[in-house]
Amino acid sequence: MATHSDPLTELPPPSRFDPEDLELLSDDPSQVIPTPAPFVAWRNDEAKILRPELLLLGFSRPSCTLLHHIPGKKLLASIVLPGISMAGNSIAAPSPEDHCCCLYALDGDCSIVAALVQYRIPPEKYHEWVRVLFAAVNPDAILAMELLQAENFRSRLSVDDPMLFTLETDAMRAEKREQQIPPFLPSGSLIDGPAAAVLSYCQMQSLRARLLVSWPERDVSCLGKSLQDLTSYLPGARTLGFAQASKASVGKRGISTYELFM
Amino acid sequence: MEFCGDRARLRRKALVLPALSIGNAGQLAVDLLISTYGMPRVGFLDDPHVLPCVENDPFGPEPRGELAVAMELYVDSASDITVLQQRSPLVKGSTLKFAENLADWAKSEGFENVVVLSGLDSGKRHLLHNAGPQVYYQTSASEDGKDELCERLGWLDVKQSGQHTEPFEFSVLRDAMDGRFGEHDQDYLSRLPVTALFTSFKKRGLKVLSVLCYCAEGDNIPDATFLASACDRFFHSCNGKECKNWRIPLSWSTVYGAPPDLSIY
Repeated sequence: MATHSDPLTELPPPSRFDPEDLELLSDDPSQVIPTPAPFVAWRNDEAKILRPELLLLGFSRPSCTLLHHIPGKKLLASIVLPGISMAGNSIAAPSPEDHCCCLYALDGDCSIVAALVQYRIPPEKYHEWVRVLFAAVNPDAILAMELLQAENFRSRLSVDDPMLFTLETDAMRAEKREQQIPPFLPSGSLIDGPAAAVLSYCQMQSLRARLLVSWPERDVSCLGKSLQDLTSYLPGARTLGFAQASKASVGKRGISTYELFM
Repeated sequence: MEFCGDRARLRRKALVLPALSIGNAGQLAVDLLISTYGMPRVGFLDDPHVLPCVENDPFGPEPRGELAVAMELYVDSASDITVLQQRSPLVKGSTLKFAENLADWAKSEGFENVVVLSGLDSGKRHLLHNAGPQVYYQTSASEDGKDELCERLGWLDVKQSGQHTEPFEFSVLRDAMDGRFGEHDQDYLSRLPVTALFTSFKKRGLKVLSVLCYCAEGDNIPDATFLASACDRFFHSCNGKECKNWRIPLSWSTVYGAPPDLSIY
């Protein structure tokens, strides 16, 4: 007959840690291979600092798809993240399915620059990546776009009801505004990831920055209209046609390999 | 670690901060302290080991669109303390580096004392001293690990919890900080973020006090209130101005997520 231990009366075994507990002292530095820092590869092989009036950052698939459909944009550079595989990236011209981050001038005089972030930045690289970006681009204002994260949103979400919220730095809030801005993200919900890293950096550096968070992933029109409204103060933005680009991008979202097997 | 804000407004009698722990007890307790005492924000801390997060005005009473980030500093002029709130976890494997960065910053800013609030996993508790909740503490202020004020408040030295078996200096943790990675310590307490912080502050000559309570994952509002009350009594034991009514932060109104979808009934 097998003997059974009595958890109430017997002493516990020497160690009852969860594997996660052990990780607090893990990662012997001698065994961690450091990866090189991100860097900017300029198209014309000439390092420079861009100083646009507005920097648009697309972190979500809807925002990248929308920005891809802006006609006439000019490729300026790429932010290379060592460790990210470029297998499958198109050679001729960047596509919405590539794993890359490209910087574009949306108008002729680089007053509006867009960065389409189409790769996953590892969390330990957020800090470095943001600093590499702002070392290359010194904008007057920043407008970032991200998808609402269902796991961090403390209210009901329906895939049939588009939503758009905003978060702003103190410097942006201090401005007098004439544009219609989306409502603020409800208190208690939060955003993490690289978009949060950018907004945090801007807050600490007292930069004028705004983050738009949209939902659901397939809805681009709401985002396009808001982008049109929020950039209307810039002469260079009036001809870009964000609302039209959002219509053009509807139904053209590429299907990822993962989704093929869902 | 970089400080952004108004350095002149920092209060240096003590730095109060949470350690990441089970039930987020320390972080919730800090939220209560900030919300109840209406502490103004005076700055931010930026560290590459802290994962970023942003949200809208966690304290209210109405959400005004004031952006909150991962690490923020608040002050209470009446108690002459600075309170650090940390809202997000750390990059995996960087607990030690974070603790050292924070201790370096606190030392450079001239803080005299540090108070760290943390929960302990009640599933790993060895001894029960009484039927009710109990505050445990560990201090670097004395050789024997005793603090007169803590004893007067009815707190127990954490060694009396039966869980802590190591001598006061957690040798494995100290070795790890010096770059020597040997066999992992078998003591649960020595592997926690609160211990990394405690050891880092102590190593730099700051007087550090850990205030601990056992809790489990679940509704941790009572644990947060208990821990905040303990911290509050510690700072106000001389003047009797302890908090009688805690003000719940605005962000807690949805702490358990969205309400159930009644349309399914």
